[in-house]
Amino acid sequence: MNRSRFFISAPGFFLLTAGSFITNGYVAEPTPIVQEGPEHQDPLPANPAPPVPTEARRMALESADAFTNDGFRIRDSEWPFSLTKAAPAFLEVTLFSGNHYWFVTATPTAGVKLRVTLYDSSGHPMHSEQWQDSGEHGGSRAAAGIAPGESGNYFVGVDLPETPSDQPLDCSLVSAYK
Amino acid sequence: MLVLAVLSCREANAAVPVIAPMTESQKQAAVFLDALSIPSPGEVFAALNKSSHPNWAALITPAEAPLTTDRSQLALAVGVMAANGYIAVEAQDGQQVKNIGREMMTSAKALGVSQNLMGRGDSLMEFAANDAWDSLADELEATENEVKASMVEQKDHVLVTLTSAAAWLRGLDVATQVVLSSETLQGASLIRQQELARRLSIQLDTLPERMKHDGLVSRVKATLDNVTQLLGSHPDSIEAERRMIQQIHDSTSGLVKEILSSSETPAAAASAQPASPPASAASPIAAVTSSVEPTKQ
Repeated sequence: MNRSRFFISAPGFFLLTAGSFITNGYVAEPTPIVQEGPEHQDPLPANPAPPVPTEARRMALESADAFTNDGFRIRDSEWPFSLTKAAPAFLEVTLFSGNHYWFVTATPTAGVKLRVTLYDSSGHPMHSEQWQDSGEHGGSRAAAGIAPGESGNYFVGVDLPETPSDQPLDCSLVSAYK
Repeated sequence: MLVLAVLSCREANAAVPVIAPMTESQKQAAVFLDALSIPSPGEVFAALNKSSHPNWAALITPAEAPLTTDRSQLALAVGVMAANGYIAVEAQDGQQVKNIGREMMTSAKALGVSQNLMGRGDSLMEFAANDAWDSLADELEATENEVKASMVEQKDHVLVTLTSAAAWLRGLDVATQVVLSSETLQGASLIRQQELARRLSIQLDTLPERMKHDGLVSRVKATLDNVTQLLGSHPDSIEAERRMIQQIHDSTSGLVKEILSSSETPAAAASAQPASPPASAASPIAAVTSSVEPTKQ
């Protein structure tokens, strides 16, 4: 029973680039401060560096970022999980009618096929927009989009319809809405 | 770049998944993740914008963090203020966003989790000054998440539950107010989140006994239980539905006021601040006067 599983994601979604942090599309340079005293001459970051994102998260955010051009807002969180062919993973979500959502998942493992499925509150699969990458950019990515007709409780499922191995894969899922 | 071109949605297409329904055990084992399973106030308000076109300026309330050393109350206040920040963003009221950002920092400082947050506060001020509304909404969610992450780092994981519950309850407070202002209760379907209310209530059961019996925390729990029960009802007329929504609104708005009410004198609260504020906390923490008067509705 994973009923009580409760994660806190790393703050913000940070793409570490050349000494700058990119969060939600803007760039914030870490502000250096210098402590006084001969033993503290090196500049220290005022804000401790956030955890470096996993490759899976970086890839999921990179894919989800495409939706921001269409007015979607990416939530500042991720679902990091391990996936095997035998055990699909499920996340409970609350969605609102009138909004449009995309759920994007990625793994750095190439040569596998990920699939995202949306289920209603009773666990029945729903019609959704589907996207899968061609695999030519490394790793594997997939997404599902939905504009629910009713507000309420839903499930997001991720599974591996095609994989050459039974080894667990590191995956990440992010969401966007508008 | 590489993927963006690929993900131009040209490859997206409607598909009918030939997939088996979830089993009962899969539903039971589904992950409930604070940061994604609980909708952000921004999500709720985006949906409200489409159904009801609220007058957001009229929904703004003064930004004042409670003067208290009660960590439970401070955690709850962070959640309420984060939701208030979204309201100010929707109203495009830059001054109010700045005020709320400052007050969130006050509460974070009182919780001792502000070390990592001063950069966030600066960003909120900068975005507000530049009317960067989308960036502000993103930054508010990031700030709330960073407060929660700091709580976890400090082994105060239980406080995260309170912050999330409070943000959701404030969102429900606003949503019910908007729906009640419509003669036809437009947008009423958006408040039908019984499962989420039930789930949040269950999470409060996992709090330590001492915290669970705290007066304010127990009232949060009671409100969630009350809301769960009300949302489970099936009114048979619009009048009955209005009464039900009014009850939810009364319950949540009363609780929000209580969360933001001060239980201590300014001097007592100030003396309880951490002895050595972070080096980056350059700006004095002062009481903030709202630039927008609250509107009673």
